[in-house]
Amino acid sequence: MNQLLDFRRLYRLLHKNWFESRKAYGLFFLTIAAFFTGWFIFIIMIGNPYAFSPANQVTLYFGGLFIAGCLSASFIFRDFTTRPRKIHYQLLPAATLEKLLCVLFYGVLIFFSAYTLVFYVTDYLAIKMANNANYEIMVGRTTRAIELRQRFGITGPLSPSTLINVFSRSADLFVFYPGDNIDLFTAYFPIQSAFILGAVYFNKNSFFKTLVVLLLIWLFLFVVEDKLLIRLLPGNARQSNLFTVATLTDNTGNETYYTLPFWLGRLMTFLMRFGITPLIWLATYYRLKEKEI
Amino acid sequence: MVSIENLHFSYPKKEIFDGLNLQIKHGYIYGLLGKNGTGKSTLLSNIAGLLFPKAGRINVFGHNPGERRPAFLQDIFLIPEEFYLPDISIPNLVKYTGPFYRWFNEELFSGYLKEFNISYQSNLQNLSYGQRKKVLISFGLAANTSLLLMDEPTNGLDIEGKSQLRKIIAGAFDEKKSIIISSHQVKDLENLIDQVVIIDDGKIVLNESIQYVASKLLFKITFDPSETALAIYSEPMLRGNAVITLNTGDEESKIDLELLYKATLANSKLIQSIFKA
Repeated sequence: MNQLLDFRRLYRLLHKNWFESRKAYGLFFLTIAAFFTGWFIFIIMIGNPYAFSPANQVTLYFGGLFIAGCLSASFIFRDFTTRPRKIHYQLLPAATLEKLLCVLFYGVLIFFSAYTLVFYVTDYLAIKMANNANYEIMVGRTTRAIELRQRFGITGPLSPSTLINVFSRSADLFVFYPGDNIDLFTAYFPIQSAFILGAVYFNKNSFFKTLVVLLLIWLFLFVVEDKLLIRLLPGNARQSNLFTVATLTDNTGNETYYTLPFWLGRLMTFLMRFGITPLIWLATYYRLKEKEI
Repeated sequence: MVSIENLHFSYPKKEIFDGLNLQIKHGYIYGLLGKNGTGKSTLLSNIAGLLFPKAGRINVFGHNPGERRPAFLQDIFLIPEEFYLPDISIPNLVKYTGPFYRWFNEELFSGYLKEFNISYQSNLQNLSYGQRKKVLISFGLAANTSLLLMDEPTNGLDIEGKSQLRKIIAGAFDEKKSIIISSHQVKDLENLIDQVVIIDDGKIVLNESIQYVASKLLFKITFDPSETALAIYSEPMLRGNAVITLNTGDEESKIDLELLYKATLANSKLIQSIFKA
């Protein structure tokens, strides 16, 4: 019997977890669907014909993903909320790695897939409704349609809203800067993983405690970058890209860029994007192993 | 089977064990007795790998419990005082949790439930605390693990439940297993345990077999004041005194666990010296 990872045991664990938690998972996703539905109905009622622009859709998608993902991650270890639950969980005959993989399967993979599915289903239906409503605004002769045409300066035909592809590198997808959705994905997974780790570390109020720790880490990085690293550079230097590019402005106003060697910069960016999440999962594994009741 | 050597354990503000030693052998039911807060549950948690010793060594059939390896976990079962069971039906508990225990026997489980008068088709959500505890006890016994740890198993059980528990444990026990039952309700363990382990202030003050206790001590009720005066321990009753005296004439008496427990706590050195002799 493999003591580290046995796929038959892992399957049993996944099966058990699904059976015991399926109602909670279902309720959680129903809540998300209800939130999206409520929000979409609200913005359709406002009558803004541009409410379903790609930028608005992608902002809602990521806003919801970050909030729901981090909240769900904080509750994924609800077996650690009480002593009896902890005992039940820790003494279940499965390896720590299997228990962690089970959490990552439901908390990361299934959550992400189900959230995206819920978003797309509700967004698709809402866009259909919004396009019908937009048509009414365009051609309607009611006082409201006329008033909305005037308010939003609609003189010609409106192009219908379309469903976005959150995975595409399109400049239309705009949260903070054009095409930042891929960067947001690479930020989301480490942050969600940090909340999973926080759920193992903190027995109570793990969501808020993790949030505070993350804010402190962010503050620390900000201080290191803005106050410490910049002092190592001469003159009026400023950081242009986190840890990789600095800009120096001389007395005549000319700017000189100082960058790390290309390969080193790429390596650092790669590690920041894809290395942090597995590292946090590894930390979660060891924390889980050493967790006492 | 279970070997505890020089166990040191402390909570942040309280030291519990300071060099505790204990050996648990196959084929015995151990009664772990002690006041509240003396470390009975902590000891069971250390054996189960739920808490880690600060120093010392625990070996449970070749495993370090703290590693919580599946091979170890499927060979021990802990029935904690405060327990958790998911809100599912009993058949689903068997379906989804039973396979984790290699030697789990569904037939035995349903038999135990029957003895506890609990329907196999019940939903755990609809059962009372005591009934849920009976389900957990039945599950633990049916898991057929080499080591069964029971922390205050009679808490929450009605009078009938307590006697059913004694009967079921006695019936389920075999030579390949060990059971450690921790309790502060000493009477509940009478006629059930083979070995009595009394723990006080984090130390084991008595660890003897019931047979040996019976060969060394005599438990009786006396009306004779001179016999009471000579007793190792005495306690007034409504009529006469319950006393413990030295068993010098190989007499047979029914061990009064509660009296033994009180006598040990009152004068552990005297009791220890009797068993060492």
